[in-house]
Amino acid sequence: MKSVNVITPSVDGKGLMMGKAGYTNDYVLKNALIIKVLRSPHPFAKIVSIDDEEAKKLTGVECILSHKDFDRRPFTRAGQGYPEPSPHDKFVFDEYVRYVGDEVLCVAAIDEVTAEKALSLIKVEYEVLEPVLDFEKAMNNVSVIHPEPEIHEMFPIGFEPKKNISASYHMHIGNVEDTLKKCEVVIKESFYTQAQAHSMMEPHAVNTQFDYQNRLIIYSATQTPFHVRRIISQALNYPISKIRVIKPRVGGGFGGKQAIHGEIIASAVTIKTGKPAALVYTRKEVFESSYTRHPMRLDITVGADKDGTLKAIDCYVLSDTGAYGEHALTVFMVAGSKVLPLYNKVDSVRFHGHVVYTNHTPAGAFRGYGAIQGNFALESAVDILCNKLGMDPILFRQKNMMKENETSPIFAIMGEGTEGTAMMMETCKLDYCVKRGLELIDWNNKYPSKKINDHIVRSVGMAIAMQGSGIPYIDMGSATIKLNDDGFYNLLVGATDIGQGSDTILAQIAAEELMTSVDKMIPYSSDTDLTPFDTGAYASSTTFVSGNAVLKAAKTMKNKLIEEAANALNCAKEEIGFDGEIFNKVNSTESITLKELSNRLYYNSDQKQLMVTESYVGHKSPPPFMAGFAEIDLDTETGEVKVNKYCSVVDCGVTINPKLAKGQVEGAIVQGLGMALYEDVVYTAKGKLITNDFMSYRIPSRMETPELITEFAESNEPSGPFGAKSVGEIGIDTPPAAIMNAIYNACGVRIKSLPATPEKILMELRRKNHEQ
Amino acid sequence: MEIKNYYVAKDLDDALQKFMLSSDNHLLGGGAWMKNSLRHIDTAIELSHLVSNDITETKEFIEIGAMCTLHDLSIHPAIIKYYDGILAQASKQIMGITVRNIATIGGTIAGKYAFSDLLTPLLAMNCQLMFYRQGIITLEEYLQSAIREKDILLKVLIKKSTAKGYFHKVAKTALDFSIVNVAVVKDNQNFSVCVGARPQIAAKAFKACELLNSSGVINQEIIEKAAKMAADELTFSSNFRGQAEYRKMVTETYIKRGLQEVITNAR
Amino acid sequence: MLVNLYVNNVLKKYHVQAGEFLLDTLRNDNYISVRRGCDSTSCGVCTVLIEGKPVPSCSVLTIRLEGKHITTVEGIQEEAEKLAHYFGLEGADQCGFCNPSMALTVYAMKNELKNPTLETIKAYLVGNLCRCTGYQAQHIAILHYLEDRS
Ligand SMILES: Cc1cc2nc3c(=O)[nH]c(=O)nc-3n(C[C@H](O)[C@H](O)[C@H](O)COP(=O)(O)OP(=O)(O)OC[C@H]3O[C@@H](n4cnc5c(N)ncnc54)[C@H](O)[C@@H]3O)c2cc1C
Ligand code: FES
Ligand code: FES
Repeated sequence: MKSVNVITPSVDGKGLMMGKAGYTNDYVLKNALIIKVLRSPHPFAKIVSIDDEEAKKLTGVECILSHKDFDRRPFTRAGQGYPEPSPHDKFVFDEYVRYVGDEVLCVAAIDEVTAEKALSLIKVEYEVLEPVLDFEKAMNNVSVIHPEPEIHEMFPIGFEPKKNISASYHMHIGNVEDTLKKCEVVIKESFYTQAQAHSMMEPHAVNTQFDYQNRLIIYSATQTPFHVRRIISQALNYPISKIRVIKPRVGGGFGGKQAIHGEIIASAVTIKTGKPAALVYTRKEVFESSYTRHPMRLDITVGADKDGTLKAIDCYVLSDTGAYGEHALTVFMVAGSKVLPLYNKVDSVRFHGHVVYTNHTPAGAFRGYGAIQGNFALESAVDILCNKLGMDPILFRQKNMMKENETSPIFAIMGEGTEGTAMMMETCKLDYCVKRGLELIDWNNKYPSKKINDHIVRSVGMAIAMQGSGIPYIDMGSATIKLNDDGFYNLLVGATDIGQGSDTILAQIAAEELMTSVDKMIPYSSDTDLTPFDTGAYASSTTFVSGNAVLKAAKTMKNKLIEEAANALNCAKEEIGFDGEIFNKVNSTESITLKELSNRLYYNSDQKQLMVTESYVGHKSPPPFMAGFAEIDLDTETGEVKVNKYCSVVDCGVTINPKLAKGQVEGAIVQGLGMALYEDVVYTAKGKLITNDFMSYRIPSRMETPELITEFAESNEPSGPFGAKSVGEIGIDTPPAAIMNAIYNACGVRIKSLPATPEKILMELRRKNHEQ
Repeated sequence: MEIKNYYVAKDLDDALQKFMLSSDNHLLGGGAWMKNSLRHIDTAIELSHLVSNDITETKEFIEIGAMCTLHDLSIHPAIIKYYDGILAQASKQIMGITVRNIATIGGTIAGKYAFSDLLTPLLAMNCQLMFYRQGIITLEEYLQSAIREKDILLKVLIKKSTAKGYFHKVAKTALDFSIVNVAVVKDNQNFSVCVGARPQIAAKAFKACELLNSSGVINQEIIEKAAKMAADELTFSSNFRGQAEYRKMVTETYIKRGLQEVITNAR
Repeated sequence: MLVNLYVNNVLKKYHVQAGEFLLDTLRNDNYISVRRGCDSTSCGVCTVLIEGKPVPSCSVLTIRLEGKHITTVEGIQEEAEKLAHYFGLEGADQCGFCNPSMALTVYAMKNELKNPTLETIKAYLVGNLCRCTGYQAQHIAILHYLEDRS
């Protein structure tokens, strides 16, 4: 029976399409209190007083909680390994509010109408403070966003709150300045990226209750159930043994549900009242009061010789983490660590920068996690450099990019806020990816551009990218496999299926090793009481890290089964052959089926429960690679861009589930196109987000989606389960640079700040034509 | 949104009485925009049984009931046929099928929404509105009247004609609101050039129309001149969807393309 | 106020407030397949059929629907299962949050349009947002579903 690398429908797809219960909000108890949060109308203010007398008198209001009700115990909401590389700079509620939408207090009432009514009756007096709304002016600003004394870093991350610096970092290999001086051609450019919104279709949701053992049960739409349990325990000083976090189906995350959202508030309400409670974010709250991608300015200098040898890359990044520092350091570092090794042959490289606080919606994890920002800058810069060199950008990349069995010193230097891990690229099919992509897009006939009529130009552009597969020595996944009577299995994983299909692919891995079919391997994720630990769904770790844990567990289970079969057939282990269904004794006709064996173990002799648990922590993080090619039509009279086609050729090792892998790439490509072209983020001068719903914040619809051609390189990663690397994030990285390169190829305009709206393109085009 | 009362009007008179009673009383069209724009409604007045949702044809006119949904509008043969179907095209480009199945032409016109994609072609077609109290007035008059009289829109009347038409919506994505929209109608030698979502409400470029109407032969030079003239005479301003300058530039471009189309694609 | 609705052909009597939207009426009555994505008429996740036409249930007042037939995905299980089959083969289902509404809209489309092409399918479904899939796999699956006359 083959389960891996064959088309396998997702295990939950049918049920969910048919409308079965599954998501957090489907499990709210009928008598749950409904929680509403009062949010700050000011970007930066001190709460002078809260008058909630009228609201308290309202029938049906059960509790109102504000900063007065909590000890001052700073923590971070970032869903990361512990100790976290993010500053502990958040309180449940604080007397300061630091962005429009920040939490002031919460009301829990018997229904939504009452809770909302109560909010409207509460009067809060603020002392409005001078906000920091321009991240380029945040550092050393007179306004200090985090003046409170209790906040701290868990280990050195360059945290200097008095200067509005949430984290900083510096690394270099060789002497960049010297190398650049010697380069024959040098270009220096600055690039800007926006605070993209995750826009998962399911808004953040949580509900809480005490069970019959008086333990706190939390249903949460989260990517990181175990981190949620730990953080709630810390933040509320509540025994971790009394907390159970259940992650049901999750309606998309993309990093937006990696950090804590409403879980602490809902838990606090239930602890305070003893009653079940539910908190579902409105779409506006999802936009204004959850997390965004870190906006960045990337100053990049690259130098090469006339023959096209890339010599040096210098990158300074200024990143805006908004009001709180969730994932501040690590996202910013990934802008270097998962981008710069693409060009591993340089003499010297420097990566440094600061992550600053501003009075904007906090930034956090988001698919790509810094790599998309870094990739946009570097892959745009490479095309700019090639233009100056007069060199073909494909040839340039082929000459300078990472190849199989090579490495980059950066791997050893840059890790998850700490040192990294040296590793060799045992698989890197980037060469093939580029070559195949050129064919798929018909590059040679289309590059750089062609006039279609008097105002439409058709052009192509491309970029290459890499990501990682989990965080070595930090991300741990584990899996439990249990044998049931009749010979089917349960697969219990802490790995978090958030829609990406990890339940399915992990079941495939286990089924493959145990030579059974996927329908006999029943996956369950994730429940901190029932499933073994896993860091969660992030950092492209699930297939590689959790997948390896599942594979280990399946191997151990197989051994146990053979042992038990040997017992049953009265022979040595070595004499047993197993094909997934039948155990044969060699050189004899004696055999026992798995079904018989499992029934025997349950009911007849040698009775026992076979159940194994294995864990895996990566010692490397083999990067997936890809090349992305775009074909666009650009209207030179209006600046409008239509993407006709996007070809992706991806090296993610063996695809455990080819269609789901394709889905990961294609979904990510379209999100990347959103970032490149449509998803504009606009604040008012007073720091309020204007683009706070789906009418004003435009994610791509099916009309914007181009023809997507997605292929996988043949690749087999020795360290991965059945040869797999990761595929969750890599797809998002190339569209910004590939599209900007295509726009340049169409009309000679270089867009350096995302998104490339028609307006920006047309204005630049007119300016350029005017100058000529 | 909070709605205190739901009132099924006995007849149009009753509806109007109720409507006049308070500024918090509202007539229900499809309710789609109300849902997103009003916080508090005292009484929501049901009209759907009193106002038609049909599209009918008389010898001279297409008559559209105010309760007609955008989807029905977009697929009706007469709407597709006349004026090269610009009203159908404009409707089709508003959101998805679900919104178009509830949003009504009456709500769109009565709301006088500046962002509207329907008002621009309707204005270019010089349509008339039949109100319960005011009787028939032109859309042009209606849009220009600053005070919004409380009245009930019953029908939209479009004169049948063999006119040529062009509509274009400039928007970031298929589901987005217009950055600007442009409608051009050529009825024999009579031109009507209208631009909406500037972001101000749809308006006609009178000077440009005059130029076109007074020029015997319309060549490329006149087209370009008229397009520029229209962009100059109309006002544009900035919001988060676009700067005034950009709006003006693309308006000129699309008027030019529109004029070319209605002139060269003669039937 | 009392409203009589036929939900999936079953007569239901609901006592509703004037301002109650169909989404809440249905969810309160345990039709949990109807879900809220935006509450501002702009995502399509809450789609149900009224008299066979797809509408955003978050924006339709229940009180206006006296005597109307409402269809949720619970009412078209067979078709949903069939569509899900093709979604499964294409990997077109990820988080699934958008999928009950997708099934309903596709079902309505099948009844409304004869032989839809890829372009008409896109146009019909454009209001149904999906952030996970990048849409293309859905379109392929839907085309296969439409071809299946069994
Ligand atoms: C998410 C979303 C996106 C949209 N995008 C676009 C777009 O891109 N382009 C575009 O052009 N439009 C767009 N619209 C607007 C839509 O086209 C309609 O114009 C809008 O929904 C109003 O129609 P309605 O039937 O819903 O009116 P309602 O919301 O019911 O009513 C609107 C107003 O009209 C009044 N009214 C209704 N009927 C009558 C009547 N017969 N007589 C007098 N007064 C009446 C009401 O009292 C109310 O004040 C969008 C709407 C939504 C919800
Ligand atoms: S919830 Fe109704 S359209 Fe989004
Ligand atoms: S599958 Fe997640 S939104 Fe469509």
